[in-house]
This record gives sequence, C-alpha cells and structure tokens, in this order.
Amino acid sequence: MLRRSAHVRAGVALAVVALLAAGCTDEEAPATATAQTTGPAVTDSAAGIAEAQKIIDQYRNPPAWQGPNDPVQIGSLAGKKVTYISVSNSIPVLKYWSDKLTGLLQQYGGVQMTVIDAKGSVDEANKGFEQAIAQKADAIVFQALPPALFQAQITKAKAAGIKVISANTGVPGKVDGGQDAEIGFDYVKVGQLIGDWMVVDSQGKGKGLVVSSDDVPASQPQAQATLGEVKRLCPDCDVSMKDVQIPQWQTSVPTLFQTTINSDPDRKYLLPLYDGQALPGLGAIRTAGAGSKVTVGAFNATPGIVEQLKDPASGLKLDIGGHNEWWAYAAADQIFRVLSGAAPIANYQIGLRIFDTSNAELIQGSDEFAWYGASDYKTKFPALWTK
Amino acid sequence: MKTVEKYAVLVVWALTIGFFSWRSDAFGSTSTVKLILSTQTVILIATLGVMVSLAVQEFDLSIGSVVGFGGCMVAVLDGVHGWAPGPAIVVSVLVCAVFGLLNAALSVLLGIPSIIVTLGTGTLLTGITLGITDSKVVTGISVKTVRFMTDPFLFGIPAPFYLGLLLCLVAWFVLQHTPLGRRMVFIAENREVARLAGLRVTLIRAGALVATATLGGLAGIVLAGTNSAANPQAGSYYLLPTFAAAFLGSTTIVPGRFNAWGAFVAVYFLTTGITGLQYLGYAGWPEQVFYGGSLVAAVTLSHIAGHRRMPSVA
Amino acid sequence: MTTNVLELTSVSKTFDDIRVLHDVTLAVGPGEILGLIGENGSGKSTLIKILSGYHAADPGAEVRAGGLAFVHQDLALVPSMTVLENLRIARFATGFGWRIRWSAERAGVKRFLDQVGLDVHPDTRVGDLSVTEQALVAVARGLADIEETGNGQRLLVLDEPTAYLPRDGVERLFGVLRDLTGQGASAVFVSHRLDEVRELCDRVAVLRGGELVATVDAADKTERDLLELMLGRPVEDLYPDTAAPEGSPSLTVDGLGGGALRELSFTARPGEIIGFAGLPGSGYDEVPYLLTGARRATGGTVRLDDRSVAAATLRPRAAIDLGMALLPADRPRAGGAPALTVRENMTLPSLPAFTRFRSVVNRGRERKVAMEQSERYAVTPRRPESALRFLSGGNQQKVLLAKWMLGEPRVLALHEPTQGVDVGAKREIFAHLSAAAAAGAVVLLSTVEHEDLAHLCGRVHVLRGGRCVRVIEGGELTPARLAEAVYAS
Repeated sequence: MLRRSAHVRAGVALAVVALLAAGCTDEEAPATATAQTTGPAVTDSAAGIAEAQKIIDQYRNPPAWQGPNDPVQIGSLAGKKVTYISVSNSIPVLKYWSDKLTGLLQQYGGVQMTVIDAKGSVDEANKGFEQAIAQKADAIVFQALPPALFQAQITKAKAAGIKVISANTGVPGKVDGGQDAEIGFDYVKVGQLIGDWMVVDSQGKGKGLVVSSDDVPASQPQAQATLGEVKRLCPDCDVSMKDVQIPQWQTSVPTLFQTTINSDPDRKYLLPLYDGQALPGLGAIRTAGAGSKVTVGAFNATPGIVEQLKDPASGLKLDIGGHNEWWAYAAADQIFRVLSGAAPIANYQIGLRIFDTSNAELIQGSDEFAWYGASDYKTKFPALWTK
Repeated sequence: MKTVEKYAVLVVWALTIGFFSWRSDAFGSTSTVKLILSTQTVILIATLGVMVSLAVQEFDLSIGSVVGFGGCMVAVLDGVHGWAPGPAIVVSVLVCAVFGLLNAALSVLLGIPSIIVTLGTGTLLTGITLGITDSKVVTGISVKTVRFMTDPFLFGIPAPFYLGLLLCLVAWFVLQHTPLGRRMVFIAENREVARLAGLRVTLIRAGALVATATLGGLAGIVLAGTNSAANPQAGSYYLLPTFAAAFLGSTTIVPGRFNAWGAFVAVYFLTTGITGLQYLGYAGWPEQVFYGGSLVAAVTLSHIAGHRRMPSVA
Repeated sequence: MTTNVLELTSVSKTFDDIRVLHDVTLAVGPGEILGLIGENGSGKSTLIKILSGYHAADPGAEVRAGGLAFVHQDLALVPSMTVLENLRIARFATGFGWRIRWSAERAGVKRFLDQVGLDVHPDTRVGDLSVTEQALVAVARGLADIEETGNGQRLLVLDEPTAYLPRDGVERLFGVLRDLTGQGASAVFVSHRLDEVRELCDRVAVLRGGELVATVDAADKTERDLLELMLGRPVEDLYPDTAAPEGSPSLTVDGLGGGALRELSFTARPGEIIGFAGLPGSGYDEVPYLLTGARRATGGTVRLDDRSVAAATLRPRAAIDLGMALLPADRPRAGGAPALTVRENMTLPSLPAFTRFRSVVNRGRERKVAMEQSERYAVTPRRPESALRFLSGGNQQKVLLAKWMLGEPRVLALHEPTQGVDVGAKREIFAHLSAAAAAGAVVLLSTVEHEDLAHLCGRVHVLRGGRCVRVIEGGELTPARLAEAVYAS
C-alpha cells in the first residue's frame, strides 16, 4: 500500500506543480531578472511606502504592453513541426494553453503543433521527447516540467538539430538546463508585488509570514522576492518564512494560519505562494472568526478562489493574477523567434494585475480575461510577425 | 501491562501537551484548544469512515477521492445549480453512499479484494470530480452552509466538531456494545468462522464499505463548507492522514482492534504534535518526522506487545 | 557398540521459577524409532523445543545430537511454491553469477523424493499435492536438511505428523519411516495416538508432569498400559456408556448429495449417535458440512422434527435456525477465532440471547454464562477473557463444543472432533457428546478413528464412492469390522 501511495503522491505532486504553472515558475535566485526591476533600498519608511504605493497603483490598473518590439520573419516557417509536451492536460489552464497555442501557430505561421499529454508522468514526458526526435520535429516545447529531469533528452534533441524551449520552469530568461529559450510568467515580479502590497497596506509597519512550498520549483524565487522587496522598502516591517509542501497543504496550512494568529497576533499578513495553497487556511480563518484580524495575500487569481476577496470572513485581501491568453501569444512569439533563428526574448513581462478589495468588483462573470482589461497583445504580437 | 498499552498514546499525548506548554507560552491557551479541536473535523470524520471498513478487514483506498467528490458535489449543486443547502447536502451524501455500494458490489459480491477495487473506483471518482467541476475550484456555496460549518456552536467551536464527536460516540457504541460490532470483529478475524456461525457476512462487509463512503462524503461536505469553496484536487491528500490515524488508533484504548476513541485520540494527538511544533517555529519537515515517527513507534510497540494481528492487506 | 544418535543427560527447564522439565535422560540409537508421549502440559513440547534449539536447557544439562531435522504437525511448507523450492529454499546451488542451477537442483531433490517413495515432479506446486504427499515432502525436506548439516547420522523428529492424515496416508508414512530406519536413520515420534505409537515405535518414552516416568518397549505394552502410564492412574473407560435411544426419528435425510457425496439417506432418532466412515473421497467427511449448509449440497432433502427443507437451499444461518450445529475439523480456520476471547467465541452464534432490547450486548451476562460453560465443559484455564489461542487444542475444542451447545442444537454434526486433542480432553469431549445425545440431540460423527466410532456410535454408515455401502450396528460394531468394511474394495 505504501509504495503505491508514494507513487500516487509523486504523480499528484507533479500534477499540482503543473496546476500552479497557471502562473508560476522555477529556479533559484532571480539574478538577472531581479536586477532589472529592483531599485535601491530606501532610507526611510515614508519613502518606501511611497515607492510601493506607486508600484501598487500601477499594477491595480490594466497591465500595459511592454514589448517586445523587434519584428520576426515568419514567412519561411510554414510547414515546420513543433512538439508540445504538456505535464497534464486534465488541468484546464494547461489544456487551454495547448489549444490556443496550436491555433496561433497554425493561423499566423502555418506551423504544425503536436500536443503530447504527459498525464503527470515523467515517463510519458520522456516518450514525448523520443517521439519528437523520431519524427524530426523542428522544436520541442515542454510545459511545466523541470528541465533538470530531462537533461539527457534535451541533449539528444539538440544533437538532432531540434530547438528546445521550456515553459513556466524558471525565472524569465534563465536558461541553464540546455534549452534554447524559456517562456513564462515573471514570478520574481509577483513576489515583489506581494511585498509592495503589504508595505502599503500596513503603512510601513506590518509583520508577515511567507508560506513557501519548496517542492514547487518557483517557490524560492517568488518567496525570496517578497522578502527582499519588504526588506528594501520597509525598514520597520518584519517578514518570516515557513515551508509547507503540497502534500501538507490540506492538513498543515490551516493549523499554521491559526498558530500564527494565536502565538503572534501582530503577524497578520499571511502570504502563501498561491491562492490554492491559501484555500485550506481560509477555512481555518473563517472557523476562528479571524477574517477581520488577518490579511491573506497570494498569487494566481484562480477562478473559484479569487471570489473570496468579496467575503470578509475569509481573510483573503489580495490575489494577483497572471494573464493566460497573453501567455499563449507570448509563447507563440518565442517559438517563432527560436524557429527563425532570431534571438529569444528573455522576459515578456506578461500581464499581471493586482486584485484586492479595492477592485474586487472586477471579478465578475466567467470570462477571466475580461478582469484584466488588456487586449492589445492580440494585435501587437501579430504586428511583429512579418512574412 | 494491558492497561499501560491501553492508555499509552493518551499518556504520550498528555506528555506532548505538557512539553509544548512548557516550551511555548502561546501553546497553553484556550485558543490552542479551540484551534486543535476545530481544524481537524474533516480528518476525524474521514478517519472514522476508513475505520469502519478496516474493522471488517476491507481497505477503502477511495476515501480521499470520496472526500474530494463529496465537497465538489455539494458545491456544484449548491453553488452552481442553486439548490437549497439541505437538499444539496442530502443528495451529495446519498451519491457517495451509492458509490460505496459500487465498491461493495465489486469487492464483496464479486470477490475482488477491496484494496484493488477501491484503487480503481477511487481514480474513477477523481475523474468524475474533475468532470463535474470542469477541473476548477467551485465556489458559491450558500452563506448558510458556510456559517454553519464555521460559526462557533458551543465553547467557541463550530458545529462540525460536535458532529464528529457524535459520530465517534455512535461508532464506539456500535463497535463495542452491539451484536453488529462483535460480528464485525469476527468477520475481520476469521471470516469462515463468522460464516459458519450464521452471520450475514456479505451484508455486513458491504454495509461497512457503504458507511465508509458515506462518512467520506460527509467529511468532504464539511471541508467545502469550511473553505467556502471546493477544490477538486484536495481530496487525495486525505488518504494517508486518515489511514495513519486509523492504524495509530488501533493501538490504543482497545489495543489490537480498530476503535472509535482510539481513532479520536490518534487524530488529535497527531494534530497536537504538529500544532506544538508550529508554535515552536518548526513548520515543514519536522511535522512529517513527528507524524510518521509516531505512527511507526505506536504500531511497532503494539506489535511487540503481542498484537500481531495487524490487519493484513487483501 | 555404535554411538547413539541422540543423547540427553539431566535435561531440566525452568520458566519463571516453574520447572516444566525435570532431569530427563534419554537416548536414541541408530535405526531406532522412539515414541514420545505425554498429556498436554507434560513437558513434551518443551523437550522438543530444546532439541530444536528454540529453548536452551537449564545449566547442567547435556544435549548431544547428530544430524537432526523436524517435521511438524503443520508441515511448515509453502503451498504456493513448488516441491523443489520448498526443499531448497534456503540453499539453492548457484553457478556463475549466483544463478540458480535448476537442473542440478532438480536432480538433487529427486534423490530425496525417491527416498520417501514420492513420485512427483519437483516443479509441482505443494498446494496441489494430497496431504499425505505433503507430509512426505516434509520428511524429504528433513532428510535434505540433515544431509546439508549432518555428520552421517540422521534423526527425524516427527511432531504429530499424522494429525491431518487419512488412514492410508498414515500407513504410507509409516512404511517410509520403516524403510529409512532400515537404512540406519532414527526417529523420534511424538503423537497423541497411542495405537500409532505402538504400531510404529520400538521404545516409548512417557513424560508426565515434566518427568520422564518410564521408557518401555512398545511391544510389551497395550494401549491401555501406555494411557495409564501417561495419566499416572488407572483409566476408567475412555468412552461413556451410551444408552440405546427410543422414539420416532427426528431427523430424516433423503438423497443428500454434494462434493464427493453422491447420495445418502438415513434417519435418526433423538439421542442417537451415528457415525460416518470411509476412505478419503468416499464422501463420509462431507456429511457434517452439507447438512449444516457449510458447503452447498447439490440435492436431497433434510427433515428435522416437522420442518423439511431442500438441502441445496441450506446456508449456515438457515441450518442454525433449523437446529443444526457444526464442529468442523479445521479448528483455527473454521472452528474459532484464535485471537478473540473464549467468551466472544462462545457467545457468537447465540449473541441475540445476550442482548438488552436486542441491541446492546449484555457483557455481564455473557461473562457469567461463559464462566458457567467453562466450568461445565472443564475448560482449563478457566479464564473466559483470555484469547482462544492461548488454550491447548483440547481446551479449544471444549470451548467450541460449549459454544454450539449454548444454542441447544437438535443435531450436532462433528468432523474429527478429537484431532490434535490429548487423551484426557478426548474423554471429556466424548462424555459431552453422550450427554448431548441423552438430552435428545442427534449426534453425527465423521472420523477416521474407528476405535471412537465403534465405542461411541449406535450405528455407523460406511461410505464408498459417495454412497452408503454398509450400515454396521449392534454386536457387529467393532473397530476391526469397521476397518474391514472401510478398506474392503
């Protein structure tokens, strides 16, 4: 029985990792990416609040187009073949991405995309690589699968002249697994935004707890970014970090939230990585009647969870969302660039938006893309794709 | 010796409480008691569920899936289709019971070991759960339900805990004091002896599997109500904790038999340990070391004490 | 003079200040078969455990043994594995790269199988063999073990090896043992069956209360002599007086069939004890199970008092309601739950009688009745709260008899009720069967013990090929006549 469970658990863990990829990524210290967006440490608390407020105001509004601007010649790409290995297409957002991307590649570049569903299994993903190599694909995209697990396959594919692109596995632009390019959300920015928001909301004196989940590759980059940003902008703030991994989310997050409330009532900013990780804790907060005493903030703006912003008893006050259709256009652009031999884009700065109690009324209806109020990527990207 | 064994886990529990109260000022407070009692109801009810089928030597590995399904079903009926909370809950529990009937039909009537049957049906039910929720977190559960699950009911603890306590009481009474409970013990120990004594072996085994699924569904409803949302992926994480608590519970109060108060003690002992560790700042891996270590220690000691009849698989 | 294969000098054993074995001195010579008898608790099992090295003897003892191997009652074979694997499990001959050399193994195993006259392929699954063949496999494994470790001397210790064997199997086993001792091997034969001990052994060592009270030549003693040595007192007759019953039949069985049983009809009056005898496969041992619904009958009707049912529809529950009770031969698997208490085992079939409002078990009443029953059936130790498995075989059987008698059955069907039971308990069980009959029950007894059938039963049905070929009763009913009828072809 135990051996089986371990298997199931590994499978489930992998699948959940994939689910989180709805807006998450991977890898260690955000070296380059952080450098681009992080300013110097502030000298006094008022300056920190002011800077954070500026950032927050910007991200409460619809995300603006931030490039790229270099055109890419795609006229010669018609007939090229891309194999796309998705960690698990039973997760809606992953299914959405593979469908959308297939359409975009075909429509604009005449590129054929074959989708392989790894069903949460490393073996299936390996098979996908083998199949792509056997069929002489021109590029392989692997979605939400850690490159470290596929070193041999990546080497083999590249030896066969196939371009390899990872998706949602690392800090934007960080390609140290042998792949040619990476396409993903900017998790470091997400972490920083959570930090900025806390600095503003607490007026420069909040105490918080970041709950990481280090079995997810993007855990540390995002969590460290929050810690770093708070430290940078808020000398009087205090943020600690604890780790609760996927198999313990259901059982440990509720008690962790409550023990934090009980043992240190001032530590009211509870900041898990994802709203899915926060969900079991929201129940505990409701049970403890602590909705007004704590402030929960997380990433993903998962439909079904983000609605709890409107329920004060839940304690959820911040949920940052990443734009999934934008992601699909960005992925198509990256694939075109890699196939045509152009330099890949390091960070697409795919649209992020802060949802909190100030704009919770945006969470309305089942069209989640409408919540972001941005659609210019739909014309900006195709404009870059020249024949 | 027997008495020592009976209360060993209780004593260790008391020592754990003493230790954490000494090490952490915040631990020894009524709010900690409330915390411990009010956050574990889902596990308690699901543990009672698996215990019922373990008591007749059936392994129901679908418990996690049923917890997930029960929660999502009620969320879909109530939140998406706008049913009234009452009918939504009743129908969800009934559907879970019907699922238990499927387990029973395959394993008891057709004679396929329940561990294999429920492995399959559990996966199937997880698929159905993803299907009815479109793999998305379902929200919109009535405020009434959520408030019932989370508002203080007595001594500041919400009603579901008392429901769990009541279910413990019922399970204890049935297992320890009724002919049915005695018969279940015989079916677990020696099915042929039970059959030759004229017991309705098939019916009792089937009933146990139905009860497990029903309680699993109930646990799922409490989970969804407490969270005000149902996550279709959440159920699977309840498989291991419930089995761990049921096995740990079988080493205490009535050592060597799956028993209700043993399960109760096990659930809250494990939570106490984890909560205490969190107070001391040891979230993360120490929790798992404590969890696994306690289970292995208790089961090993029980084995050494001569209760070699730990339930065997298949 | 050749050296002895086994020499025990001043062997004692003390557990927690209780001396269970006192100063036993014993020797077994080459080619000799020594019988070892004694009641339960006489120190017999302790002595065997000292031989096997499970217990160490108290200081001062001397134990010297040549090549030694054990064949236990349960044979300790793995049914799902082949004969070859069972024989060689711990020491496969390996060639290059530790690969098992199967062909060499097969040849080696074949040699031991030949020694016990067993013509089966080494790749046969043990579970597919008959019980007799399995016993012979166990002996062959003993021989193989000895050759592996021994110094040329060979001693087999056989602990109740015949408990589960049919009569022809016993004879086959004895033939093999005689052949082996003819070739210089020796044996210690432990058994409750004094007739077998006399038949097989050269000398018999008798243990009583931890002491070796006598070592006698088997040929010089009658069974009764051996029994009296064991008990340390003259025995009243092992068998109770059974009164001839009167009245009209309460049980009518017509055309019963199922399993090996083709067709059996008989009637029984209240108080009758009726025996069923035959060779394995004759169907004599199906009768108790078919009548009580434990196995499905294929045809026939059963009429008890004024209720008549089709045998094929009988299930245990219906049979119990009708007034039937079954004491099966397989005690640990089908008789009682070894891990549960004496009380729980006793009250299981009649649990509703121990409830308040038909829903709450009245444990006080249960305890009282379990204690009373323990006293009535002389169960020792008299501790209804201890697990059944802590009792000796005889006492377990008494508990199970007491369990069914609580329901005051109209028909008590038994299969080998005294298997693995010592003489004292056997006598008591017979007395209870007789008492049950005197109280108006019909007792049906299927067994290979012709002695028991002859003394207890008013009538014995001898079966062959699934049908009753002869009914023996009255003056004709002797063990010799029975054996004759059973073995007649």
